[in-house]
Amino acid sequence: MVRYIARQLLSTIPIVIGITLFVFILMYVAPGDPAQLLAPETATDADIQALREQMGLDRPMAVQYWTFITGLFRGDLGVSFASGEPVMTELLRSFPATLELALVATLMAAVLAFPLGIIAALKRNTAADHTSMTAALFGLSMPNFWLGILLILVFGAMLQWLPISGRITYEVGLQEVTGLLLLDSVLTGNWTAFKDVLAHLLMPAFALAGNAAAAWSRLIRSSMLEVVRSDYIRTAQAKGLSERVVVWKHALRPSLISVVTFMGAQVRNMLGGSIVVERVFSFPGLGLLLMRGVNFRDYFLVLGVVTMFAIVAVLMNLLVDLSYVLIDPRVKYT
Amino acid sequence: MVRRLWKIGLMVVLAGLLVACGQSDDQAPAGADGGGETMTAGTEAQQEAPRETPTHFRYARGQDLEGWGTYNHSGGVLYDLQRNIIEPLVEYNWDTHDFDPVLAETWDYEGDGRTWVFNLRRGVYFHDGSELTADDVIHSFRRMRDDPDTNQLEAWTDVESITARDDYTVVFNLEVPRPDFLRQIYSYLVTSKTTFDEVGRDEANRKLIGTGPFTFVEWRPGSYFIMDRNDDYWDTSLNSPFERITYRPIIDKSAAIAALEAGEVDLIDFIPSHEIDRLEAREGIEISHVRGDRIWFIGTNPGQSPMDDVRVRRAVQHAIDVDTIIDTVLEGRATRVPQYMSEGTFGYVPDLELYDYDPERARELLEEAGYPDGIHDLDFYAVGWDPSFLSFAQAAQPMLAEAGIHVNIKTPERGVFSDLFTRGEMALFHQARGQVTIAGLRYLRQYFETGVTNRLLYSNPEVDELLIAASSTFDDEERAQLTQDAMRRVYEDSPMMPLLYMDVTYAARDWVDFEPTPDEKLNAYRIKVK
Repeated sequence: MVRYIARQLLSTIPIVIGITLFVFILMYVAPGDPAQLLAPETATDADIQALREQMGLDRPMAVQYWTFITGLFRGDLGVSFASGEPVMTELLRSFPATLELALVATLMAAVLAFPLGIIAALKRNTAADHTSMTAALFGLSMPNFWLGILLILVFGAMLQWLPISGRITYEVGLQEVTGLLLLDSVLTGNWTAFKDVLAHLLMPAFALAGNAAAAWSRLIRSSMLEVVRSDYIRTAQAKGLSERVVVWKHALRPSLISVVTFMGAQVRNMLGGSIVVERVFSFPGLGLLLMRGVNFRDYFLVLGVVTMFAIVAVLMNLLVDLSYVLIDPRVKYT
Repeated sequence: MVRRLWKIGLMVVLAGLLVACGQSDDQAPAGADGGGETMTAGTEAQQEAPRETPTHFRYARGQDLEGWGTYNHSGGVLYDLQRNIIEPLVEYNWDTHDFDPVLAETWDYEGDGRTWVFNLRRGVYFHDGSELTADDVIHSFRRMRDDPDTNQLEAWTDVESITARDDYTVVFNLEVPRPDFLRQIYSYLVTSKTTFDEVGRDEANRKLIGTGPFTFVEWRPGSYFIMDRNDDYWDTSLNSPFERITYRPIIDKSAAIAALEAGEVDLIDFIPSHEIDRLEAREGIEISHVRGDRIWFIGTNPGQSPMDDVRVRRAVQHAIDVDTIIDTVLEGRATRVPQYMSEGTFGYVPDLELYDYDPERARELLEEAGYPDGIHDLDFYAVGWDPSFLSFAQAAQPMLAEAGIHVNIKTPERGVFSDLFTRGEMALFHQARGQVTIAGLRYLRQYFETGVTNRLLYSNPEVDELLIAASSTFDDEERAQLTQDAMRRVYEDSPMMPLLYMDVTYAARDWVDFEPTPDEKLNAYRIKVK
């Protein structure tokens, strides 16, 4: 098992190198000059050339990539053209925001999807089933930015229940420990901050969770339906076991393998989908950082964000694989 | 069991909502209902007119600071934030069209204009307690040149060296005489050398030490930028009523408008035209406009066919009815500018014969140029931050077609457009250029002098001579005359069709006393309460 994990972790290295090389080449050949995009309006061509030299953009592409990849192994991802800050600093500042958003969105999606999916499966072809699946269809069809703006209008502007942008209000005075503000407020015992951070998270997390919840509920339903038709379930029911035991102990667990696989893919999608949601809510995460990087052709920043996404995706896959061991005792890794 | 599942699910969702709503009661930001308190009752307080003078001002714009470096930013919206804390030598006054003293009390040039002397105000102190001296000014300008992440190298254009004549006198030694030197350096900010020497560049950047009316408190990227009033500020006539100013970056315009309506912020900018009427009708919100200083123009690039023929370029000028587009598509929220510089500026030519809207004349010109059947399949690029840009291009398209110029509107991604623009690869494009009044000759030379940029690939040696001569003439009248002569020739050559200045529109709570300026700067420290 340990060897399996080690092998998986080592395999991230060639994957990450491959992804960064691909992205680097794309950014390099794409039209758009970072110096021109950053320069003030009054800049002359001579000014822009001076800026280009200062940013090291006049060096050959291979040299620039080599600088990046050797830096990567030292933990030095270069410097952002737009801000002058080390890319690593920017990533460490933004990643916890997106992670927290994705985690809360995942939790929300699960809380919505599991009851909906299970009920739809157990009450197949009844009103409950049809209602749940229609709701899921809506959830799947709604673009997350549209849902986001709708939430802002209703809960932000009209009802004024929830704040519209950012992660936290200054006045709550939270001391940061990990960068995951919900966790930090628990660790520092700041209940006011916890409520404030949660309030800032609810709308963006829901906008992000909508699609995932819909997709999961449908998958849970079909997965369970398949399992529920099995012989061993009929045997369990014939033995006189209660509905609760049949569902939770015998039906749900086997259905989970495909559900968890799908959930892993969806959480990776959330990291990507966060770009749009973060923009709508001005939520300062990796998505916004990536947008800024692309708009300004900030090579190192984009590479840094993409590298981070790649590493998280690989770790996510590993977690999903390992979870199979917990779910299905027949699964073993060597 | 199924029912239990539902109950659990519902309970979790409700608990979440209750917890979150609970916070909005406890945590209403101290705004309209009086400053300093963070525990206020209910969200109603955010909507009602204040019973006391508000002491906390909150505003939102569409961008956040990218990083800490004072000399890393290239101006624009982000400049405003730091301007509340750190001050420049002089500032542009939009009423007098001249420069006002800030940290420099008086200034003048010596000799042939290669030496500019600035006499600093005495008794001005930085937030770290040190007094403002010439050393701080020299240090700040050196950072603009030497900081590894500097984006303000332009401050050093034509500057050979900066020296201190004494503790309160700074001398800029230029390579060429520059009558418009103030226009080059007016916005650059002076930071404390003392703090820099004590803690180094990175820490100094994070402390944001200036001489301004507000002191830096905290910046959380993406969430807030907080400043508190400096009660020891040197200009005792300023008297900001606010103890605290909070800036929030809200990128999405609908979200910003929602934030204003919800009472989360007191002022927002760049209201899209379709929202103006609705917001104006809302109680408690007021709209303010100002004619902007960003000129919209259509580039007819003489370096690219078919625009290499002056008759075709002039045909474009005759083809578009700008006044009608302003009245209809732009809902009257723009001012027609038929010349490169607007009335009241030194580059305005009083008796210039303008190309008026005349599609017939446009057709005649095309025929003379060898296009009796008109021009077909010409790409017309229109890319800009403002969504009205595209609306303008779409309105112009049928007008151009009527005159015989059939165009395809292209909207490439900004980076792609920027490449094409810098290399002068587009024959016909729609663009805008901000701060043209203050930039003056620098803007004219940027577009019309051979080789300064490739944006228009326009070259006329007579114009070059006139613009260069104007740039080194200290006599105002002579400079105006030279510039006007140049503008006459440029207008004849017609490499560019000036269109309009777009209004800049702000929306704010009705107690906010805010006078917008055309340069899109939002000086929060100047805002008062009605």
